[in-house]
Order: sequence, then structure tokens, then C-alpha cells
Amino acid sequence: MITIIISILIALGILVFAFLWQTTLSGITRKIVGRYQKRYGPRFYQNFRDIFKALSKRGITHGWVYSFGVIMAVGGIMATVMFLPLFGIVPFPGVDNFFIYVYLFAVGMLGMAMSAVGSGNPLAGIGVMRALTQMVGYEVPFMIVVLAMIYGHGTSSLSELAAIQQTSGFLSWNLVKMPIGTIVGFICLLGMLGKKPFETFIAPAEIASGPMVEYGGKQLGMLMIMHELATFIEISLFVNLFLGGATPIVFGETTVLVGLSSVVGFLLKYSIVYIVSALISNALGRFKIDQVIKYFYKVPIVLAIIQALIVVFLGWGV
Amino acid sequence: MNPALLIAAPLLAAFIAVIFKKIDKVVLGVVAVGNIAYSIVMAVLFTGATQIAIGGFAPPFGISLVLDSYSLIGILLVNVAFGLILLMGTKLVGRYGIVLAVSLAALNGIVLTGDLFNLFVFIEVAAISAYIMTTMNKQLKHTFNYLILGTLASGLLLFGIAVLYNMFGSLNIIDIASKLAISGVSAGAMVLPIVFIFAGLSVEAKLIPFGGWVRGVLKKSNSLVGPLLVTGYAAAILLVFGRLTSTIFIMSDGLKIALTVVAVATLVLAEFTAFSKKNLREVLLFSSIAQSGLVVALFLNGLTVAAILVLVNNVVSKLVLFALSAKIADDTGTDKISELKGVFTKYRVLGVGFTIAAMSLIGLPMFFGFVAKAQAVMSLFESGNLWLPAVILLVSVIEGIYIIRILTTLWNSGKEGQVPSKDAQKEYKLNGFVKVSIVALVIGVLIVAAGILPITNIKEFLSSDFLSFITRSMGGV
Amino acid sequence: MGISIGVGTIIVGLLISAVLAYVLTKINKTTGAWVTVLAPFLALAAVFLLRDSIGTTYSLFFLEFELTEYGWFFSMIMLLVFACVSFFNVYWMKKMVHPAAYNMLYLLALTGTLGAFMAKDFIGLFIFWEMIVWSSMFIIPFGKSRKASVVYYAFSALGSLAMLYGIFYLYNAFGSFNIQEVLKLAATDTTAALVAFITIGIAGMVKLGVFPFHLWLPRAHGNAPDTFSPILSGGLVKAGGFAVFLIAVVMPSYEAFATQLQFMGVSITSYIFILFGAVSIVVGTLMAIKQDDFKKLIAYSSVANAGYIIIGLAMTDALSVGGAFMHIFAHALASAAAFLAVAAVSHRTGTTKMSELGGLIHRMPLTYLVYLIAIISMAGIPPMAGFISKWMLFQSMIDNGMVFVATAAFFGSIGSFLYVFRPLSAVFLGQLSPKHYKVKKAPVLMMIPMIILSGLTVLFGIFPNIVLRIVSRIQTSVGMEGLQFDGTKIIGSNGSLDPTLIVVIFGIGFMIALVIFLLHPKSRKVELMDTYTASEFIYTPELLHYSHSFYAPFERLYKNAPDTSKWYKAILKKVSEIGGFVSYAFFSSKPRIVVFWIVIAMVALLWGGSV
Repeated sequence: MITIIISILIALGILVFAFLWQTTLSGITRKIVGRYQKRYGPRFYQNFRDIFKALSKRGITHGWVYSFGVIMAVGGIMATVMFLPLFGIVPFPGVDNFFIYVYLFAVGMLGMAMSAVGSGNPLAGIGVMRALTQMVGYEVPFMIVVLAMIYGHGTSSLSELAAIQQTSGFLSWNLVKMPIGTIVGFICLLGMLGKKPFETFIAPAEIASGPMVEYGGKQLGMLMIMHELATFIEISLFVNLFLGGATPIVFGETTVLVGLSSVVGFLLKYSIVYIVSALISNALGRFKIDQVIKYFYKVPIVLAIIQALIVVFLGWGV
Repeated sequence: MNPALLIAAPLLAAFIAVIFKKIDKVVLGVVAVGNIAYSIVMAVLFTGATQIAIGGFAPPFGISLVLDSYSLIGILLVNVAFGLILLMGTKLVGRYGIVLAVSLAALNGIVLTGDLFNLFVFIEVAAISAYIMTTMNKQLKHTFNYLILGTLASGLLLFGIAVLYNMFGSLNIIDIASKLAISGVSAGAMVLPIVFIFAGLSVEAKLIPFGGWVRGVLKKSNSLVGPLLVTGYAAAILLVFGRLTSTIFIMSDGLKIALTVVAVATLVLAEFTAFSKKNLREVLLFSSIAQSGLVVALFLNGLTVAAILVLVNNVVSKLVLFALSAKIADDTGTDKISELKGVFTKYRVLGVGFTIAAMSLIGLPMFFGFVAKAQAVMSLFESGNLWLPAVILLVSVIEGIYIIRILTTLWNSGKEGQVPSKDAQKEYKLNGFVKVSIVALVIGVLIVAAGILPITNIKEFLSSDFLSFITRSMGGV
Repeated sequence: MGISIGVGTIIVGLLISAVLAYVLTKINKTTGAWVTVLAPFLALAAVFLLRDSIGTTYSLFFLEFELTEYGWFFSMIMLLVFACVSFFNVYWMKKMVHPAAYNMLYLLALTGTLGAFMAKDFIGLFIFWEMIVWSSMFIIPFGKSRKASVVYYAFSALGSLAMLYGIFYLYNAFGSFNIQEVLKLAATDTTAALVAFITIGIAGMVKLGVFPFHLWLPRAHGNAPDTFSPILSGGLVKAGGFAVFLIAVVMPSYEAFATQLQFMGVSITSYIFILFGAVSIVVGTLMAIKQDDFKKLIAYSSVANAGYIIIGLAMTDALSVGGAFMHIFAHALASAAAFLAVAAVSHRTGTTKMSELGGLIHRMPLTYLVYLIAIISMAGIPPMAGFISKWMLFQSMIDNGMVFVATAAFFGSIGSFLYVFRPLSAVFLGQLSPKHYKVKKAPVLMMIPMIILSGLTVLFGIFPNIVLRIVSRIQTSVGMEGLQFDGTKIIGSNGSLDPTLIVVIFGIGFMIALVIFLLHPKSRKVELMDTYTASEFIYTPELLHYSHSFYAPFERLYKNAPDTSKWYKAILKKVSEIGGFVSYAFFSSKPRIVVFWIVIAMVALLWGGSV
């Protein structure tokens, strides 16, 4: 019982950290993007301001499912975050299964989709349709790559998959061992994050932000929290799966220093992945939704299967 | 007990009816009932196979009748079927009482006779009465067609018999069989008579491509002629096939394969044809042709028990199906399946009888058809044949499709795409359906009983010992 | 208790109640319908009580029954589904033309399934198997289509006659009908095992609706009476799983085909079956996505789920078989619940077309929740039972390195999000059409079974070990390794799963979200039509409801995909054409043509005979 409570407390800690870190990073990235676009850009804590402002406003509701869906969405995503290992700390060792992240994440997504369509706005329906369709595009190649990884390393635990990559430095990263898979993973990550060119389901100019079209007030605020947490899940999945997770950047005897440097290492990789994806997003145009599917079923899925076959039949990358 | 009475009584009845025209129906009825009773009594008192000489000459010189369990099954089947058909179609007898009596005599003769020429005569008599009966359909062109082909068939048959007589100097089937065994005639020499007899019989047994007459004659036949041709006639002729294949058909491998190909092709092609048809009677008649093909194929492979079971199943279920279809067609003016939607909603007992017969036909378990099919498949397996069971089972899928198409349509009114409702129900009016319904229901109960009993001890049923009394009694007296 | 309850008693009891239902319905429709409610419940209780006497054989007249671990499990699922669905019969009596026949056939179908699961010998299995076929075959045309029933029968007959071939082949080879005995003997003889595997396997595939035998499902499920679709999808289809289980695991196939080429950890024969499962998943998913009819959509989803079941069973390792069993159970509950939700909607609105519905959550909130729970389970999302089974199946696929199969499975899994969401969105969410303003809640009696099914789905999603322990016993009873547990954890081959923990954590997440929600200002309720419309004025709710061709962009991508039904239609057309030709050529009304054929045939016969 005590261990469970401690685990839950750790998990809550991870949750709080995830929120603070990602919201901050989003703000910083907004600034970077602003500079990139020759603007001044907002302050780095602008996202906190947005969220708290939205939460404190009195909004509208379109019925109980509109609110219930939001709670379910935030709850689901929070639960997913609480399972995530962070800096090698695993709140629930042994059960941090890859599939939990995929499917528990889906609870949150389903909640949000329900709430959005429950608003009665057809644009939200179209947005959800696009989001789901896009999901079929990116999830499948991503899961195939992870299949290869699990097959190769013999475990589906996220923390163990990260730990295996920390055995012999940079060369044991899946980035090196499964380069094709990593490329696929990154493309899929862009799809997950909804960054351009895969921004179909938000597409403000086409469908008025899609699922988000009706939101205001606390529902909007909560969905913004959810968005930050979801981003955190996606990026840390990528970092843990392909980039070795929390690898130290300083090597040596002092465990504290090494431990701290591994925290820095993780956050550094995280920031790089996030900022790069944001920059790519700002440099590219938007696919149409059927183009997205066609693309994912042409390039990434073929690459993913090739990667999986290499691992399964040739045994490379294990 | 002299089985000759079964032939003589109807003939006598025919004569009486010629003289006293007014009581022909009564006489016919009495004779039909009497024949059933007499054959049942004979079955009960049956002790062993005997050959009964007619006219004082001992076989093989005189004409003889063979009474063994095989012909016993035959006369039971023929007489009971005849009686039931008569019961259901009494009103249609009209001026045809005499012909019907003659045909009953001829059918009994076909089943009982042990003499080839006598067989030819009975087949001729049966055929002639059939020609006359089919004029009831008022499709004279088709009757004429039947007449031509029937005559050709008789010629072929007679030629085959003549060749045999030339070879063995005998017309007695058992005698020929024993001479065959002694003399060791080569299979090659037997090809000619066998093919001619086979062809002659196939015309009456409606095998493809011999039975070309059947479609025209049967597709518009009423509830008396149709069932009679499909059940009584078919049963008698097929039993002759069985008797001949197990006695004097000494076949070379090539011939056996060739004949089996004809039989199996009939099975497959006729099922396909039945599948393509849209009218009740046409579907059923092609289904009968297919079953004939199956029976012949089983006989050719020496699987008498299975063949008889399949035959009995076909006779019993077709009797009900064809009689009811013809009845419905007579009263509603159509037997197009799509125009008879929901007819059973009103006539439920009729529907139940029809359904049981149909389900027996496609061989669902707990109905007699399953037992027959199981025996057929199992005995084929035992004889090392793996492909024919597969063919039988595959075509019964096709058979099932068209039968179920009939059943679902006839039970449910309403357009496709809509839930059946009482408002959409078309009004049907059948005259005097009670008698027919009761007969159908009684047969249905029997089908179910006969379907369940063998399953109670399926292993013994399937092992050939259980019914070997039929097989054993086939070979000789 | 004077009478000791055995399988025989239950079967006889059900048969009697079938007759009773018929008679009582003739007298009073509602009374008859209640018989169909009571009988499955009593049978459920009786079978449940038989838990301790597993392994006992019973005889009923000539029929022999043996209560096996797996037979018990399948029977319980079936009874649960029948018992729950039967409440709906009460409401459907008025809508039927043959209510008495419906009630009787309904109970006969149940008898058939129980008999098939508990039969000791193949003959008993076959008799009851066919009983399922014909009883449901007569019920289906009470719905919207007669053709559907014919299609159903055609496929079923293909399956059951294949099985019959196998049964007699095995009897000929081993001289016995006893299922266990024959299968064990067959495992020692590769040819016999292959025949058994293929023939009985086809029977199972047909019943499950695995590609290429899947076409009857959308037709039969989609057109059957609304009360019978849940039985078909949740119940009868699962009998196919039973048949596949017999040949894959009871036989067992891994021993029988040990000498065969092994591919991806299984024999090549099993792998071919698995591939069919994979194709089913993809086909079922793609077809489900583009359906407009609510029932057809769920029917196609059953095709996809059948794929998972057959993959799990054919892989024959502890996790995969366990996953398949869990999937059978979870999908039975979920699809029955989903179909019941459809039935409730159809009862109130009279349609199952999604494009004609919308916004029903505001009128039928509980039905909505039932459907929601059902689809969460179907899509394999925690905390429902469907997640557990999918997780177990994925584990096995990954362990065997089945890349292509897993690709199909992942596609099906994510694709299921699409098709399960569509009815949610189009039927329950969005704008409420004015013609449905007066729609009432589903009646209380309909709610009871729906809530039971949803409750069980959630319960076994949180505590799947209740079921999995039974599954584990089934596995050890047929001589394979059982599933491993650690408290609430399921031990997998490359990781563990703690469903209870997931639910606890999800609960915490939900509570935090709820607190955040409650702490902030209350929202103002606005009408559904009061939405952002880009400054246009729209007053027609239907126009603001996105439900027509929901996944149009996605559907466009595979609109030219080959249609399997065309293959069958082509075959039947050929059969029909040959038939027409035969009828024309050989049954001509011109005697000369027939004589011509006779001559030809006789020449051929004479030639053939002299060869």
C-alpha cells in the first residue's frame, strides 16, 4: 500500500513537472518561432497566462457531454503522463508498457472528440474526422517500428527500452541501431503533434480550428492543459524510444552529477526535438487529409515494414 | 405370399373400371389401399428372398418375380407413394382412373420382376400410361416429345436385352448373373448391352442428357401426375438400376468411370439448373434429376444401402414438395417463387410439412435426409473415394441455397428491404388444403422420426452390418 | 432439490421452454416473450452451478455430453448474451408477423449453441451446430431481408458441410466420433490433422465471419430483427471460435504440424489461417468505416474482431489463446451491448441509418453511455475488457515477429477508432433533428440488460483476472501452458499489465480534472444551434449535423478496392448460366436435339467402356 502511495506521489510529481516544463517550452518555442518569422514574439510564460485566463472566464456549455468529455480528456491524458518514466524514475515499474501509452492516450482523445462533436458544430465533427483519419496514418507505422524494437530488445517496457539504449553510449541509441525506424518515428511524431504538414485537423483557416471551434472559458483552458500534456507524452515517448531517454552528458564517478547531467541530457534532447518540429511546422504548408493518408501509406509505412523485417529476419539493430 | 397379386389386383381393377366407369375412383382407391396393406403384410411376414414363378414354368425358363428385401422396399415405396399421391389428388383423377390403375400394376411389376423381357414390358406399360396421364397437363407437344423419347428408350432397352439374350440364352436376371460368374465373360463384351440398357433406363430415370423430355412434361404438371412421375416412376426405374448394377453389370473400369461421369455430371448440372430456375416445380424437377444422378452414381459404386436411403429420402420429400407446389400452382395460378411471398403465413400446417420435407431434402440433421447423406458420404469414404463425397457436399450447398430461397420467400411476405408486416400480406386462397396439409404433416413427422432413430446409434447404422440384410439379399436367392 | 441438474436436463429444459414459448405466445404475446427471458436466466444459473462438475459426462437419450472447461466458458458467454438480449423480445412482439415462431426459434438457437459446446461426440456437435444454423436462418428473414437469410445459409452450409466432410473423414480413419479422442489421434497423423484443420477450420471461419467468408455478417446482422442482431454478433458467431479452438488447441495443431515448415513461430498451415485473420481485420475495418447503416457497421466490425480471434487461436501460445478467449468474451459483451443500443434507438426512432439520426444523447443519455462503453471496449481502449485482449494478442504477435499480421492488427486497432466513433458522433452527438424532439428514453426493461452488459465490460476491464483465471484453467485442461498472474497483474512475455492500476491512475487523473473543472466558474448553458457558423444564419439542425459520408476523404482512397461479394456473385452467376445452358441444351422441347445428345452420349459411353 505504502509503495503504491509513494508511486502515485511520484507520478503526480511527474505530472506537475510535465505541465510546467512543456508549457514553458511552448512559450519559449513561440518566441523562437516569432523571431524566425521576424516578430518579437510573446514572453516565455505567455502560455501560462493564456491557460489561467481561459480557466477564469465564464464560458458556455452545450450540454453535459460537452463538459464531461473535457474532463475525460484531461483525466485520460493526465493518467497517461503519470505512467511515464522521467529521467530514469519509473513510477510504476514493470507495467510501463508501450501499449498503455497508445491506448490510454486514446481515452483522452476520445473524450475530447466526444466533447467537441457534442458541441453540435459540424466543423468540430470535420475536425475530429480528420484527426481520426490522420491517426490511422501515423499510428500504424509508428507501432510497427516499435514492434521491431520490442521484438529486438525483448521488452515492451518504456523505461527498459530506454535503459537498454544507455548501456554503451551514443552507439546503443535506437537512432543509430534503427535509423530508418527513427526517421519514421519522427515523421509520425509530426503527425501526432499535428504540426505542419500534418496540421489537417486544426487548420484554422479551413475549419476554424476544427475540434476547438466552440470552446471558451474553463473548457478551453483545460484543453490547453491537455494539449501541453499530450505534447509532453509524445515527445518523451520519442526521446525514450529512439534517443536513449535520459542519457547523461557528463560521465564520471559522481552519481549526483551524472544523474543531474542525465536530466539535462533528457531535457536537451526533448527541447531539440520539440523546437525542430516547431520550426519544420513553420516552414511547410499543410497537406490535405487524403494526401496525409496517401503519404503515410506510401513512405513511412513501407520504411517501417522494412525496418521491422530487418530486425526480425536479419537481427540487425538488436 | 404371392407378390403377383400386387400386379394383378390393379390390372383387375382397371378391367372392372373399364366396365363400370362410374365406380372407377372407388375401385382405384380400394386397390391402392389394398396394395399398401398387402405390401405391408408381406414385409411383416417376410422370411427370406424367394423367386416366384409365374405361369407354372420354373425359372429361369418362365417369367419370375423376385421377392427379396430389396424389392420389398421397392414395393413399399411405390405403393405408399402412389396411395398418398392419390389421396392428395383425388379430385384430379377424373377420367384417368384406368390409366392410374394400370400404371400402379406396371410400377409394381418393374420393381418385382426378375426377368429382363418382362421388365421391358412393364416399363413399356408404365411409360404408355405415363404418356396418357401427361395429357392431363394439356401440353400435348411435350407429351408427344415424351412419347418419342420414351419409344426410343424402349428400343434401346430392348436392343440391350436382346444382346444379353444372345450372349447367355437367358432372360432371367439371376440366371444371367450366375452364368456370368461361371463363364467369365470379359468385361469388354458386356460394354454393348450395358450401355444400351443404361441409355434406355436413363431416359426414364431422367439422367442428363437422356431425359430431355422431363422439363416440358413436369413443369406444368398438376398435383397428381407430377408427384407420380417424380416419385413413383423415378423410384421404380432407379431400383431397376440398382438391381442390374449389382447383378449383371460387370463393368470394365473404363465403363464404370464413364457411367459414373454421366451420373455425377447429372448430379452437378441438374443442381446448377435447379439453382437457375425461378418456378417451384421447375426447381423441384431439376432437383429430382440431380438426386437420380446421385442414386445412380451410388449404385454404380456398389453402395446399395446408401443409394436406397438417398432414393427413399428423395421420394418422400419430393412427394410432399411436388404435391404441395403443384397444389399451390393449381389454386393460385402461378408457381413463380417471387409471386408466392408469404403463402405459408396463412397455411401454416402446409408450410410446416413443406419445410420439413425441404429440410430433409437438403440433409439437415434430425431429418431423414441427413441419415441418407451421412450413409452416402460414409460408405464412399469406406470405399476409398474421397472426391465424390466432396462433390456431393458441395452441390448440396447449391441445393440448400435454392431450397432456403424458396422457404424464406414462402414464409415471409413483404418487400426486400422491409420488415414483413401483416398489411403487406397478399391474399391467397387454396381449395381443400386440409387433407393435403395433414398428409404433409404426417409425412413430416415420419421424416423426423426416421431422421432421429438412426442417429441414436449412428455407429451401428453406418457400419454396413446393420443394413446388410438388404445388400446380402441383393446378390442371389 | 430432487432432480440433479445436468447438461441433459438443461438441454431438455430449453427444448421444452421453446415449445412452451411457442404455445404461450399464441395465447398471449408478452407472456411468451417472458419465457424467452426466464429460460436463459435459469439455464445461466444452472450452467453456473455446474462449474464444480466440469469433466462429468452426461447422457440424454442417445446424445452424450461432456462438460469441458472451454465448453463451460463458451456456454456461459452464450447464455449471458441470450439472457440479456431476451428482455428486448418483449418489446418486439408487436412488430413481428410470426412472434410465436420467433420465440421458439430463439430458444432453439440457444439450445443449439449449448448442445454444440457440450457435445461429447462429433455427431452431437454437428446436430446442434446445424440447429443453430436453421433456427437462425428462419429468424433472419423476419427482419428486413429475405436474401440475407439465403446468403447466411449459403455460407453456413459451406462451413457445416466442410465440417461434415471432416467428421466422416476422421471417423473413417479412426473409427470414433468422440471429439477429444479423435482429435488426439488426428494429431499423430499429419494428413488427418490437415483435413481436420482445414474442414473444421473452414466451419469455424464461416461462423466467425473471417475473410473470405465474411459477407454473410453485414447482410445477416444488418437485416435480422433488431433483437436478433445482438445474438448473432455477440453469441452465435462465437461458436466459430469454438470450432477453431477445437482444431487449433485441443487437437493441438502445434503438435500435429510440428513436422511442417515453421514460419514466424507457427506452422505454415496455421500461418495461412492467421493471414486470413489479418485480411479480415483490414477488410472488416475498411468496410465498417464506410457503412451508413448502424447495424452493418457493427457487423463489419465483427468481421474485423473475428480476425483477432482466429489469429489468437491459431498462434497457439499461452498469451495468444488467452487473448483470443478474452477477446471472444469482451467482444461478445461489447457487440451485444452495441447492438442493443442500436435496437433501443431503432425502437424509439424507427431507423438505423446514421445519416437520419443525431443528437440523441439529449434524449437517450443512458443508451449513449452503454454505446460509449461498448465502443471503448471494441476499440481496445482501457479500462474496458477489450483492451486486455488486444494487449495480449499484440504481445504474441510481437514475440513471433509477425510483422505483416501485426501491421494489419495495428491498422484494425486504430481503424476501429474511426468506425466506432462514427455512430457516436452521427447518432448520439451533434444536432438533434426536430423530428426526434419527442423521442423518449429507452424503456426500463431495455436498460437492465444494457446496463448489465456495460457493467460487466467495465468490471472485467478492471479485474480481467476473474476471467483470465478461468481461461488459464482451460489452457491447462487442454495441455498447454496457462497464463501467468501476479496479483492484479497479467504477466506477458515482454511486459506486464496491471489493469486495476490503470483504472486507479485514470481515476486519479479524472478526479484532478474534475476538481479543476469544479473550481472554475460555472458555464452558461446555450442551445445546440447557438454555435459558430461563420456569421451565417442557419436554422435547420439537420444542416448543421455532420453525418453524411463521414469519412469521405478516407473512403475515396479505397473506393476502387475489389468487392468480395462480386466474386461470389460471379460464381453464382456462372452456376446459373451453366444451369440455363443445361436447361436450354439438354432439356429442349425438340426431340431431335435430345436424340442427338443421346447418340453422342452413347457413343462416348461405348468408347469410354472399351478403353
